[in-house]
Amino acid sequence: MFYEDRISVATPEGVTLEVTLAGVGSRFAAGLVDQLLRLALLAALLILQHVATGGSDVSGGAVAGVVVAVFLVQFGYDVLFETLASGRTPGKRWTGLRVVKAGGGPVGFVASALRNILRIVDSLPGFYLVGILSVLFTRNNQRLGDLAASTLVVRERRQRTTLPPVPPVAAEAAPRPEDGLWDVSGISAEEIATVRRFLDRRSTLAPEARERLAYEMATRLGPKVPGPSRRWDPEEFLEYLVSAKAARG
Amino acid sequence: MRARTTVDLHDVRIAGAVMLGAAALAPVLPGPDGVPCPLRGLTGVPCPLCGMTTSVTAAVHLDPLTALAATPAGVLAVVAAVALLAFRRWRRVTVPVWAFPAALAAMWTWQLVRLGVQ
Repeated sequence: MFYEDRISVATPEGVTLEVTLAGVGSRFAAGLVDQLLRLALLAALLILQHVATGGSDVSGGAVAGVVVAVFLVQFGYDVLFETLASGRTPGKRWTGLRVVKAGGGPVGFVASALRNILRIVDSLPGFYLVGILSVLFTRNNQRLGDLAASTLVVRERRQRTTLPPVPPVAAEAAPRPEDGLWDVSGISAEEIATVRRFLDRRSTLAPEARERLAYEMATRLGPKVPGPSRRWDPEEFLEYLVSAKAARG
Repeated sequence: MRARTTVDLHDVRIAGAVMLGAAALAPVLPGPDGVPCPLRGLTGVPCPLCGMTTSVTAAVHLDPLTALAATPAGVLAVVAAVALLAFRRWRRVTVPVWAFPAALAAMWTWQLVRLGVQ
């Protein structure tokens, strides 16, 4: 029996990834850390403005400037970190959380902007009541912003999974596809297309998802290729598989 | 902007049902009419969702004029919630991303015009 919220995410590679959903507690802790950082940033900006203007500027323009700064820090902070740091604000990094798309992919600018603009609704009518109720009662622990942007907040694995170790292959022992040693006739065009798709988008995947997908695909396709393919690093195996198939037509 | 987002309606449908139930019970529940807005309480400036409690409650109790005066968004929310319950076959909906900030901006404009900055 699991005491964690685990759900399965179907990836385009046809491999199912298990992810652990973050709960209210860890998200609250992450939010608290982020809010403290935002306040520190705002305080620094205000002090800077005070110093720059000699503290005498109380015109409408100065007030408007403060309002804009507050909005940019409140909103931009999350979007910036989620987009550029693979779904992790400093608070989320500290609590081991990450924002991902519901399909398991990385959260982009549009999805991040959408989920964060809807904080306006989730934070109502105070203390994030709407957001907290939404996380508690929705299937995938989503607040309204997550529902709209189709995003999930997941917990990262604390320890590396124990994938079977891949022994290093001596360079001279490694068969090259161009040597013609690999019989890739057992691999269908569809399977190669799937591998190609994975190789194309692997740099956008979270490290553990990428590692797991490569491993699953290599384990599934490995037995269909006679030869010493079992000892390969999963991603290298997939790369050689694609080039071997291309060489053979 | 051509960016779109696909929203799974499962949880939205439940949220809509809860909203309708709460609005139906609202007049007989103790406490103030409507949820006090923290932004308006602190600064006097209404937020985009001001008027939603009044509007949704009035709409559920078939008082469209009061509902529309508070905010048309409440009437739309009630219509959407009823439609989601009526059409269970709708599983997900794809909408342009700009619809969300546009809706918030429109709702906020309505409140700023209605209540002004006090």
